[in-house]
Amino acid sequence: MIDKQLKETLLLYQVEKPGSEQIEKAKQIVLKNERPIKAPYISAKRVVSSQIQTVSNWFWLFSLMFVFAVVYLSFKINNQLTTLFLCGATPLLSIASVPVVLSNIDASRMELEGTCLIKPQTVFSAKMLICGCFDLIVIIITLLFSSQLSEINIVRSAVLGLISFTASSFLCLGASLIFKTQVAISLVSALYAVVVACFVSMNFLSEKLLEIKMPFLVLAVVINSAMVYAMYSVAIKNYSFEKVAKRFGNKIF
Amino acid sequence: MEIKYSEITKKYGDKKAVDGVNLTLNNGVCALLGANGSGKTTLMRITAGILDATEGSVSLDGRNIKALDSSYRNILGYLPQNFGCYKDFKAKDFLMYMCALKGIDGDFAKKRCKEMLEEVGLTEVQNKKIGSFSGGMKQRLGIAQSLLNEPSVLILDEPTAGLDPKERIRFRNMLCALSKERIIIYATHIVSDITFLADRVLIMKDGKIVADGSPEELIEIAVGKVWSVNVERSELSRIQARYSVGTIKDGDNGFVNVRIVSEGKPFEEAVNVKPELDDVYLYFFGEVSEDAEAD
Ligand SMILES: Nc1ncnc2c1ncn2[C@@H]1O[C@H](COP(=O)(O)OP(=O)(O)OP(=O)(O)O)[C@@H](O)[C@H]1O
Ligand SMILES: [Mg+2]
Repeated sequence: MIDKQLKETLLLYQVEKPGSEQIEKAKQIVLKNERPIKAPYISAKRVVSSQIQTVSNWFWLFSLMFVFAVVYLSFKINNQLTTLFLCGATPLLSIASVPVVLSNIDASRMELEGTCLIKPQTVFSAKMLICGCFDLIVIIITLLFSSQLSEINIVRSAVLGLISFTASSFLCLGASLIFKTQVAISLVSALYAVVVACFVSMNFLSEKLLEIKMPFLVLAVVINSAMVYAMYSVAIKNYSFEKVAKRFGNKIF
Repeated sequence: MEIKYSEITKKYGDKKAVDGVNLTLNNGVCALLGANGSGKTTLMRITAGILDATEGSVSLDGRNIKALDSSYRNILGYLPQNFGCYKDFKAKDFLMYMCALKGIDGDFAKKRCKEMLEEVGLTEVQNKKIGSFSGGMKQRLGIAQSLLNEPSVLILDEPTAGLDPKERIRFRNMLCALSKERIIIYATHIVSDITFLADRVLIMKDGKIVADGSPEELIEIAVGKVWSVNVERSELSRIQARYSVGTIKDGDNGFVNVRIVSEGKPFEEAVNVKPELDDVYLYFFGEVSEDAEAD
């Protein structure tokens, strides 16, 4: 391909026909200059594994404590209400992931990470993916336990868990776009947990919840997921060095 | 390789931090000299691609760096003026992390980290947390990370800030030893660094490039404008208000020797002396109050 193009180009100069040696030489020059222009491919797995070490130990600790508390509680008080509450209480985990996600929103660190091969947006997404996946795993564990012990159907409780998971993720992302401090964002999530708790403890409401037909619940999951995705897109769009520096200032360390 | 700036302007509100810069940089070391707030960091950030210019574009070998995107970042090394990092990271882990972000992996990454820690003299503290580092140590770690991927475009924003004299010399030698087959741009206030290192010096003032040339060429600008004169100590403050005063040396009998940068002869007895790069800086930045100049 290059050979043909080069030959044609060199012929345009209307000098004597370039020999194969000249073409080879010209080709080498082109290729040499072309060298830096190809970036290597980095797999998603590598990005995610690079980010795992940046997740604070507190996040793992908090999550584990949460799992233990849940397992303990579901053994202690096994009824439908607990299960419902557990399905709704996942936002507590989102609170744990807030500092993790926020810790990356730091202009001075972005200045460093933002000039590397991997885009800071990708780094940010990887972090959220780690927290999200871990939350999901924890939720699955807690649901398995609690639905075993109560009469709620496991599929129903899984769907309820997903609704809460997506709603809390949406809230967390949204709050991180509006508020600047961890405290404010954590408060929003905590408020959500309280609302869920109240909702569950009001008998007539929770009974209604258990009567809702499955298709409607699934629809709610789909709608929530779409909303999370939309919020994620907005968050990523706002995740450039300039915008972050404007919001958070250029703090160091 | 060649980096070309065309009509780069960066506005913050009404203020122009960088104002219509047209420039072509080739392989070699290019120093960017300028007073605080002259727009050096802004220009560096635009070059590094993390800040978008309000107007104009930067291209590498004729291709816009925005279009090159990850391919450009792949060959880029950047040391920000102030950088943040995960303070719980150990120095070595931090470099390994940066390797991962730069797409360097496996044994080669380990090798590069070891080499770079040696280069900047941090081998002994490689297992200490960054949070416990002094300013200079952190700066050296920053220099190390910028070189991990053997960049073809190296941007250093005040790399020697906070370094002690020994480390400064080590840094200078390190930069000298780097192959010249790359574009190195560094911003600084320290004139002596430039004299040793730079092939080309750009002087930036209020967002504009006001002088451009080799150190020798820049010194040429100040020829005939640097004066040495002995004055009474009591006159010193009056002279400082009126002229750009360089070094002041103590003399006998209440007299001092003053180095003045001025277009015309400041005093009858003043004699012309050979300029140095410091004088060129003063020539551009030695502000003299307007009314003092008038009388
Ligand atoms: N985020 C920002 N918002 C508003 N103004 C800014 C911002 N960043 C820089 N400026 C302004 O732009 C001008 C140039 O700043 P810049 O940081 O580029 O200077 P500098 O030459 O690097 O200075 P220094 O020697 O102190 O590092 C300054 O007047 C500064 O106030
Ligand atoms: Mg600066």
